[in-house]
Amino acid sequence: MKVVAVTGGKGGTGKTVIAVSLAKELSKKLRTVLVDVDVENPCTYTLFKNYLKKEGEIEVKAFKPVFDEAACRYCAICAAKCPAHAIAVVPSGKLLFFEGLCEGCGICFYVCPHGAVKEGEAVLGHVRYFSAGSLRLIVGELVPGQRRYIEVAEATLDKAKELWNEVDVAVIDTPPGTGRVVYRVLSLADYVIEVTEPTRLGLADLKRLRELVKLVSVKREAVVLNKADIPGGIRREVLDYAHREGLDIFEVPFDMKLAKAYSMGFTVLEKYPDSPSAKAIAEIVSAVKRWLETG
Amino acid sequence: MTIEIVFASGKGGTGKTFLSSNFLYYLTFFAREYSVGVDADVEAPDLALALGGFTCIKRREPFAGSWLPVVDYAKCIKCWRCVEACKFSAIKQGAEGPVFDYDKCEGLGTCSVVCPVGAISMKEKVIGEIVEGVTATGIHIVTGFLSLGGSSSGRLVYELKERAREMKPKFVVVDAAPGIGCPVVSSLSGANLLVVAVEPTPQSVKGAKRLLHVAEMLKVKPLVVLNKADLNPQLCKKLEEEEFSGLVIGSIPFDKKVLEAYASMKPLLLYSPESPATKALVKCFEKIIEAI
Repeated sequence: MKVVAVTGGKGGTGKTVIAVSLAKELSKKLRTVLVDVDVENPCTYTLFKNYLKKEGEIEVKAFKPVFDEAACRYCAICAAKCPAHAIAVVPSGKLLFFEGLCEGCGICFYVCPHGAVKEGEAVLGHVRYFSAGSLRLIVGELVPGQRRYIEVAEATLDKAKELWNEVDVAVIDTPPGTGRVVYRVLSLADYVIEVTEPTRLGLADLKRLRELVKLVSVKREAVVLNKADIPGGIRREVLDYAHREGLDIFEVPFDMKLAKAYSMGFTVLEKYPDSPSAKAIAEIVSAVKRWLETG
Repeated sequence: MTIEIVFASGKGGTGKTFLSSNFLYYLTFFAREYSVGVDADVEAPDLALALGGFTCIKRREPFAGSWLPVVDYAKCIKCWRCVEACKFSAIKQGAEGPVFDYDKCEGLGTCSVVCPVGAISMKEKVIGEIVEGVTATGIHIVTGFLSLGGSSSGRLVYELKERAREMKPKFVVVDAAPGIGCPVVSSLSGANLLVVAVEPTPQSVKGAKRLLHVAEMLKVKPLVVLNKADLNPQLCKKLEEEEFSGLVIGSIPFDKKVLEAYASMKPLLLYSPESPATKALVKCFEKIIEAI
């Protein structure tokens, strides 16, 4: 069982397009699961127009306090000890709880001298699982207004791990950035595909992402330079960087057909297989297949 | 009275940094108001780059925004209340006492609070770095870098906004992270206005709707800018009339000068004052000022 992480640092470079294209192609011959841990804005399922079959869903729940105002004496110890500043107490007799700020630590529950804090449940998000032909899809989604995205992403990865013995390959679509969720996915990954664009911001974020990759032991890295030939871009600089670092690099040309297919809910490989971007993505898929065969 | 304006999007790559960097340039050189930028995308900060890069760093310091539990095993009586109390399942029973999984630990200190013998203390943990400086375009930026693989980005964002306010500018312009989670909530908290960067794709619209929901919960007034609008004019029309009716203050056309400006690390308003995108930007910015 091998894990392929699709990440990149900068947002909007095309991670989801690459991850979904890869997963769909691999699933034709290999048992594949696609995992979407971009829980703040999951997009993988938007590229499966009309043929996703929902298999199930679980809620990601966590502790939240429920305040019993009958027992409360407004001593304000909970407010003083709350590390998220999510509780405000007015001594004349009012307690305000800002659920959106709560981090779920439970300290208020433990410090209240009057037993006025009860254990409640907050729904942080959902993990939904689908099948699309022979491909399985697991999508984590944060409830808007909840801030605890890491726990939802962890729950999504835990659900995916239940399938580790039943699949040959897992493709994981990560969120942008270089934070905890990306780090956790990289820790599980055998291969990392780093999707970037030919802009200064894209290159800066790619470099940052690679520093994170160096902290974990990933077997293989490759860069995908998306929208590679866009006018005004710094294609040459990115290619030079990749060559200096000894990195495999694949280019996908800027192609309105890709944007069109994406907008309609298809991968470009499905909708416009003869287009330049489809051919480039097909090469990336072949390279990953070779990695998987040769280990 | 400092006015705080946040640029966010939900989905990545829709133009937050593009809009916020040019808006800072507009405020400073067109409206002539003292403004400070905050780069709240602490996992991948780009705002200073978009404004020419830092030419002068005023302050650079580590930020200790979290804590790590430390055990005095001599005091531990193995009651395991810490294991039971931890809501993040970050503590296991070990031979000498509690063993911590620091990848899961959120540093909030519940273990320390419940320990009946005071064997657990919380040590400060550096979670990132704060850099304050001036960019090549003469604009002050406060940037945060979250330690690679880190969490608690929300606290770092709060601190960045505080630092910006201390400079007592007329405007604080916040370039938020993609998404709608912890650092974006911190970016929005206390802001006067939210400008949502939307590109005409269903994925961006979904992300924007999620973001608008969060903005409503935090009581921040939203406005929408349609970026790269001519990639799908039909969808833009629909968005203006239906989904984002009443919120759209302008559309920016897709323009290769935008990329050229980025490549030369200059804001578009400086690099190409006559291009169509520039003119569209200025119109939007005038509307933003009107909305305050």
